[in-house]
Amino acid sequence: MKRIEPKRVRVDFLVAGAGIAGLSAARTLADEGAEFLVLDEYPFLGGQYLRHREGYRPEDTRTRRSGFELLDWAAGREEFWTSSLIIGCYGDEGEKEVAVSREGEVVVIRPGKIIIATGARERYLPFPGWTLPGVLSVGAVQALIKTSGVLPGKEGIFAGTGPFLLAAAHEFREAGGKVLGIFELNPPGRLLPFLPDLLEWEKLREGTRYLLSLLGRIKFGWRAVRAEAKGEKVEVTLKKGNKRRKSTADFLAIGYGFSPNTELAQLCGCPVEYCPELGGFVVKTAEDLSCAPGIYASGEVTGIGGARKSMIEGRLAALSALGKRDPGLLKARERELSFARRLNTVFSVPLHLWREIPDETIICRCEDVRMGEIRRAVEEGFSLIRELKEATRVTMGNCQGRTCFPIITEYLRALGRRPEPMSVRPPLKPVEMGIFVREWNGLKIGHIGEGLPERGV
Amino acid sequence: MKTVRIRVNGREIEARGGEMLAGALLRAGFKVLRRSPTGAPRSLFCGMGTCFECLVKVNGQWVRSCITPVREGMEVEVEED
Repeated sequence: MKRIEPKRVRVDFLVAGAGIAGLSAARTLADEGAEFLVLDEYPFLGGQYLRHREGYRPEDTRTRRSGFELLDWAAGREEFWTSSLIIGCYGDEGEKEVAVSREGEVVVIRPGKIIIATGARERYLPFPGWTLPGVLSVGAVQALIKTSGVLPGKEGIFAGTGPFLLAAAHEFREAGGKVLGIFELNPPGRLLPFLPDLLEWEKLREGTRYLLSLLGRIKFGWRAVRAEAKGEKVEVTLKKGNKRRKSTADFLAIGYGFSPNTELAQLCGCPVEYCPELGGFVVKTAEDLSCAPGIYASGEVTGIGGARKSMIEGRLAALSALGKRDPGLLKARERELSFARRLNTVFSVPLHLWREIPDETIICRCEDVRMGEIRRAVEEGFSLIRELKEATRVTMGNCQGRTCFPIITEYLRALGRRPEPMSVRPPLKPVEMGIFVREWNGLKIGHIGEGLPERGV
Repeated sequence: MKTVRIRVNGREIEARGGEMLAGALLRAGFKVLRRSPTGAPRSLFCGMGTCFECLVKVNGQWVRSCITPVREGMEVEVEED
């Protein structure tokens, strides 16, 4: 078996993630004449917020317009590497090496400084049937519409919590779909803390547009508690207090907010802390967004707060990495952070609901581990993620716990346990063995889910 | 927009140039994409490359269809319903 000697690249600034925060950081670095490289796992730039297709580019807010301007600037520039997955970050302070899987081979990058802008993923409150085809995330609905012009069905039900439910339902309706209902699990009184935000034109306009177009479709206090396949359709059971109702649609879209993608930052040695008001485990940074020597974090990884926060932080992180300060930007960030705290507090899942997840519910979608198994393991005294992993296989599948870890964290928190971060190891996502070795002694190359070869192979 | 032809389980379908495979598969009516370890049908779920539910085989390699662009002549294998 032959080991492949990877290509090596040296660069002053490495930006991980080409979403809105990464683009904003890159633009700042370019304007300051710095040498930089931006990596993104996706085959496209712009992250989730700027996903679009030829001829369909919704420029609905000032922030999105600025985002598309950044995207136009970045398009075709050689400093942007798409389809480039960071596998790991190795080495000591100041001598970090970042291994990247790109075009079927490993490239090792030696950056002077690293700006982490890895964004967020959606989070979920599971119920029996959430794994059925026909139940999908609100983000997936939006992505399908934006990039393919495909609707997941003619009639859809939207359930969960947060403004993103409305945004996705709105987009689905604009694309010709019929919204049968939007079930927001929190009561309407929860919206009151947002009154000050409505004084601001962009948010007022956005909020009013969604509310007006979907008025009468929004039901507060209801949540999805079961989904069942009925032929090609999905029958959804909804619950409010002791009341239950059923509704059938082509699909059910669920969304309960977002959780930061802290894995790369953790691997780079940055500390994380649990802040429910910012979306769960977030990267802990200083005011200048530094989180470890030579490493900065920006965007959703420092707290779920939306595109404008990401844009500000991308610029702030880049300036800090260059040794510059901008007091105005710090103030703007404070404002976005305070909005973020209101947002995540208002649209949160009440803790007791995590305790009420029925035993039959699949929690780990990769390994089909059900709530009952986790509950029993906890009753038997296992409560650390590491122990639960050994006892039940949770977090051990292809997604490496990205979907179930936030669920288990909330469940344990609902039981009064202190949240504990998940340990992160390379590869950050499953990669093909074939990129490390040329021949693999008769083993099939290209199986997703296989890890890095053992040392000394 | 350019039309791209791909083969799914031996059947030719049309896709739009630049789109992700998952979108093309759903448009063509492939509702189930894979099966879980206990044999349950699964399909597109997160749509952003996080959950690995939309894994399909392209030219013999496992890929996440939601973040894999369609390419002319792709050979795709999905679970039949």
